[in-house]
Amino acid sequence: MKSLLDWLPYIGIAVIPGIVNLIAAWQELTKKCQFLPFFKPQKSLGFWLWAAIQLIFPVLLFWLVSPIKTQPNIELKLIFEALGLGIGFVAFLNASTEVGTLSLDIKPVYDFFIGIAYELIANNETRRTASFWDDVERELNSSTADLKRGLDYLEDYFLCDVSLSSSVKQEKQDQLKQVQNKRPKEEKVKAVKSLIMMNIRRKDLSDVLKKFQCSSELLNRYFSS
Amino acid sequence: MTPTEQTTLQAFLIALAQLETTLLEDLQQDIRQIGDDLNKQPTVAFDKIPELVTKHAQLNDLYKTARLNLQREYQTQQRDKLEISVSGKLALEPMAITMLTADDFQATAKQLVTRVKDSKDAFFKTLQAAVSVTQAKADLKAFSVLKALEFRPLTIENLAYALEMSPDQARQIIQRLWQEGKINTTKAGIFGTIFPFLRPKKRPSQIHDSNTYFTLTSFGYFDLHPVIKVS
Repeated sequence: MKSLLDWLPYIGIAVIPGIVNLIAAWQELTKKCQFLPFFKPQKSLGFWLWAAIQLIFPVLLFWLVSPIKTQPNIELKLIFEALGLGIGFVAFLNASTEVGTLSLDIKPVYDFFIGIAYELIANNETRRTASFWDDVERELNSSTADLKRGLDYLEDYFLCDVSLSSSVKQEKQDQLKQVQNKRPKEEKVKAVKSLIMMNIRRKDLSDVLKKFQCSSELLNRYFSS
Repeated sequence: MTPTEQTTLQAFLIALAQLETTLLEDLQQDIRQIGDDLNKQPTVAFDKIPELVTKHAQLNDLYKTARLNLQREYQTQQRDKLEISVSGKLALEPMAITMLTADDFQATAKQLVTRVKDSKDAFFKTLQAAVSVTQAKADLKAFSVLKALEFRPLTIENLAYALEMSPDQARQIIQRLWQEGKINTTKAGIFGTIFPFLRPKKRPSQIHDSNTYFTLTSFGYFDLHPVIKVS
């Protein structure tokens, strides 16, 4: 028991690179999954596998390359090393170790497990998401409305979004103008769909579609749960 | 064994070693029968070979080419008064029997040629070249199958279409990769993908060309992306 207690502070430090990497990788995951409106990470086995890999790999690497296994004095230097490895984990992954004529590369191992995690996420999400966006496009095409109300709403949506810089806001306004001028309607609908896919937060999606006068049948089918 | 019979048998073995598709079970049985006949009544076996090869287009082409090449090679050797390897001649019959009665003709040919080293005999040299070229071709095709499966699980039918090969060839490569543990059916799940060595040795009983999806295992993945490379 005492031995475990002795190790606890070291385990705490070793976990730092994993947590830092997990936070950095989370940005990448959200970017990759931004087109999956129904993706609920906490309910996805793929996500948990992904998170475990992002956490475990840097921890193992730190354990191997740092002197932590010898239980050195805990100093700021050790903590900074842990932080550094977490921040630079991707660079570590891309570097290979040369031993004589042999070159050791751990990236394939990491990529293999991350690939499985993404495959699990894609298996659950792709079909439903593709059907959803296809249905949205059909609805917008068959609707008699001219999409103006929806586009006006998007204009306000971007203006009110405090996370966007003024230059990005201007860029979005320009995109909206281009979409407004698109002809024929099929092209305009495709542009609207792409704008929604790329810019709307998942939780706001059903509201945005309502503004574009999508039917309650479609909204109930995909957003009722 | 007359020189003509010898050339017939040698050309047949070379053709079998070069074959890129799986033979139908009936044809395989006929070949094994020739192997048995060679042991008991060789003349019957020699008579059967030219007739048998006509039942398979690729085998027939390979046989004819090998025969022509051997005849040409022997004529050159006679003209140059080179001695045709006696040890080669002596080893031919038992070697042919071993190869023709085996379950996998090509794997057996590969094993046999590795045993014979530095032979000057035209047949052995041609057989060695045939085995190594066939092996290199098979490796290249196996690599392209692994690359295709890395992107997405595919059936034998999909692979044949995507890689422009016959379903027979695709089936043969899939069989080889499956035996090597580099691929698995998608039904095996993540566990089967990560730990292919834990799966039962027996081949899955139901493989359909259009319904059974194959995917890469860790072995297949690390074959494409090795962790340790020799520079």
